[in-house]
Amino acid sequence: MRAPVICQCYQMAIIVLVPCEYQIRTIVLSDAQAIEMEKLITPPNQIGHLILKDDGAVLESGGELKNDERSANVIMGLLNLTESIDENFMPNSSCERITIDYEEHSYSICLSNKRIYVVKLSKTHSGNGATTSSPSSTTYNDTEFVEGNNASSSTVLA
Amino acid sequence: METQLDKVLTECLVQQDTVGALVANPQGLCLGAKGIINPNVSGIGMAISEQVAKLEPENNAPATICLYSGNKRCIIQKDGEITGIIYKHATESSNN
Repeated sequence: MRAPVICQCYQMAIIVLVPCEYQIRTIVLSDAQAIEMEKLITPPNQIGHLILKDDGAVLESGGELKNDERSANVIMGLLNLTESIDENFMPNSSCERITIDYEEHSYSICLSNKRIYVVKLSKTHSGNGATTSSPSSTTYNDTEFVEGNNASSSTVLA
Repeated sequence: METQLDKVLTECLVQQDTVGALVANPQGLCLGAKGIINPNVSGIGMAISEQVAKLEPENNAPATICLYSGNKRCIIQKDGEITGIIYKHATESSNN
């Protein structure tokens, strides 16, 4: 059997397609498994990551940002500042992504599902190939979204 | 001095999707603004650039901060004592 193919992220659950004989099944993963899956889809030039709660608590960290609470605090301060820049240009709290670009690396900060995802990307890193690639022949169906993120890992929806 | 700033701001405005540009001093006061941008943004722009400078205090190279909201972008860069803020609004025609 071929490996599952990640096809859609929804809230903290990731829906994967499992090619099983001629059927495609959609499986919803629990929060913990979703975090594990996220590790699989890291870009090759990623050199660090942080996942923060909306109050600034570090949920996950790795690479150069491992246990980097100082950076987490700076980023939380930055997010508080970006909440209201210019109501006429960007409505308050409408900023969905922030990038901080340096010469050799960059940070990308995304807000989703009351969590703050920070990735540090290298511009010079050749990559370790730790990405999940989809087989080119896989046919993707529209995924069925399931409300809530408490679905059991073994729940087979289709 | 103002003439030079004016020239730089005018050059910024002719770039694609740019709708406004502003430069601020270290106190967060607006030194000059052109296009559709509120001069009062200089203070918050300065504060954002100062906050980002804390991320890597040992790194002297200026960081470029980009805030995304739909098809709008706010780009902030602090270089030395001057902070520049640029508003960009991508229109459908520019995406094609």
